[in-house]
Amino acid sequence: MGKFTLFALFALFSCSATAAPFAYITNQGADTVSVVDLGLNKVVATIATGKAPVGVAIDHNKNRLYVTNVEGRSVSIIDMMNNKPIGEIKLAISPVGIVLSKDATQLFVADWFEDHILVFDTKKVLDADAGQHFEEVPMGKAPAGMVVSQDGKSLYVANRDSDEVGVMDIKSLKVVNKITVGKHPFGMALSGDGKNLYVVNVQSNSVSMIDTHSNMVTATINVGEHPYCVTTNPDGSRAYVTNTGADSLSVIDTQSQKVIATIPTGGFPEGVGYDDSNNHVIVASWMDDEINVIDAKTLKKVNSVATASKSRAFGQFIGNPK
Amino acid sequence: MKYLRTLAFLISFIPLFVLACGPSPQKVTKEITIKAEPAQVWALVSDFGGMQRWHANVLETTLVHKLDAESGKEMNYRTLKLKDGGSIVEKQRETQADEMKLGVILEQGDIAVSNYSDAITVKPGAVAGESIVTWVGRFNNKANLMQAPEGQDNAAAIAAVESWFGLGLEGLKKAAEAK
Repeated sequence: MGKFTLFALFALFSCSATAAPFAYITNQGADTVSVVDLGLNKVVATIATGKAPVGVAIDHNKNRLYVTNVEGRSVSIIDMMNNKPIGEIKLAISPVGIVLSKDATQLFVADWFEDHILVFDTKKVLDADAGQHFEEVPMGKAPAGMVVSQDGKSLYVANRDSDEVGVMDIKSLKVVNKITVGKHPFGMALSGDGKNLYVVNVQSNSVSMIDTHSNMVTATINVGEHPYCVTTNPDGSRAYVTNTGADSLSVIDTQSQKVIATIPTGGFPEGVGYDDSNNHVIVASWMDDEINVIDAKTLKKVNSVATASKSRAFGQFIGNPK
Repeated sequence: MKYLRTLAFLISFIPLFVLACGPSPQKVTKEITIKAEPAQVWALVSDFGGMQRWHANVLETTLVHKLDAESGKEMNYRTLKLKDGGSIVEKQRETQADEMKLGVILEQGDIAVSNYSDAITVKPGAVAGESIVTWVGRFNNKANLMQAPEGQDNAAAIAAVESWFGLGLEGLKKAAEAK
């Protein structure tokens, strides 16, 4: 091996360790997380989780990944610096949605069947009895996607079977508002500036746009069949919605509140995230066990990376450990 | 105790829950190589009212084109009368025009699943004049519960879909290769 090759390899590895963001894809059927280097478009690690992992949340302060295992009834805690599991919060419930508070001191876990949000202190989540110490906040029916407001004060919860978004005050842990949306709200995302919240309505084939200042629905935008998740670009000009019933991604111009493009994806696209260092939209395909990489400028699929069985990636799944 | 209470509570409300997908859906994928041109295979698959021509468990198909309450669009629906009794009602999924892919969403049916949707894709095989057909389905068990009673559980659901796909793909191969 020549000196140049060695240098090139070194450069490659040092880049991949620091520069490129990674997608952490939960594989419900494989009980793993695939770590995809979004610079190389390659799976660089596979991490064992509990049974049927679905939701993902990232703590960038501690470089920790939290994963909900819906059948395993637990939350896996993973060190993102070495991609190794470091703990597991054992629960009595079936967790799906998961998100951290803005300062990452609190971890919110949605209890799908018993209509609660469990609130954990992240300082104690590695304790052996972590699963027994939490606060419980009653929510609407089948709480699913969750998002924390830009100012860190509110937790928005898509209560799927109540057709509403619950607004919880994070300080008092009280539900202070309920916003009626379409039928079966599921995935949610904030606009880049935090002023708008987008909520997909699975059974209405639409997205509700909520003004986070007034907590009012300001627009309802029709998308494809059975939408699931949504993400936005950093300047908030676009929202991207996965349509599970049409195997496509709807691109919404948020100014005109219209779908400006529909891009074919792998089968049953679920999680969607925006990779702002490459301006790519990353889509997890549950049917095809892969992620699709879509160029946000050309709106064309530029790559697909094989992951593992039943890829979901529900929540904030793109991260950059450092 | 708490879990048993939840289960009892959920069972009492099953009719309300069947429309909503459970948190841990199941998947079956089956693939077959057919010695026929993709266009020829696709002609059979894409004939939405003609499944009885290749699926051994389909006796006849009734086609309806009607307004879909969810999307507000006119969609294709079909009722498949089954040879082993009962019927299945399916709605045709939206697909991209240039793909050889047909998908359906199960509306109701005498099959041990809930929240069922699938897609059949036809692709050129490794050799000219051959096709690869992939059928993949996503569904919950009939009870739509993670711990479901026997007969309505994941094993029963997977077995039902495997049998449906298996019979279908074998029949499709036979029909396409007979031409």
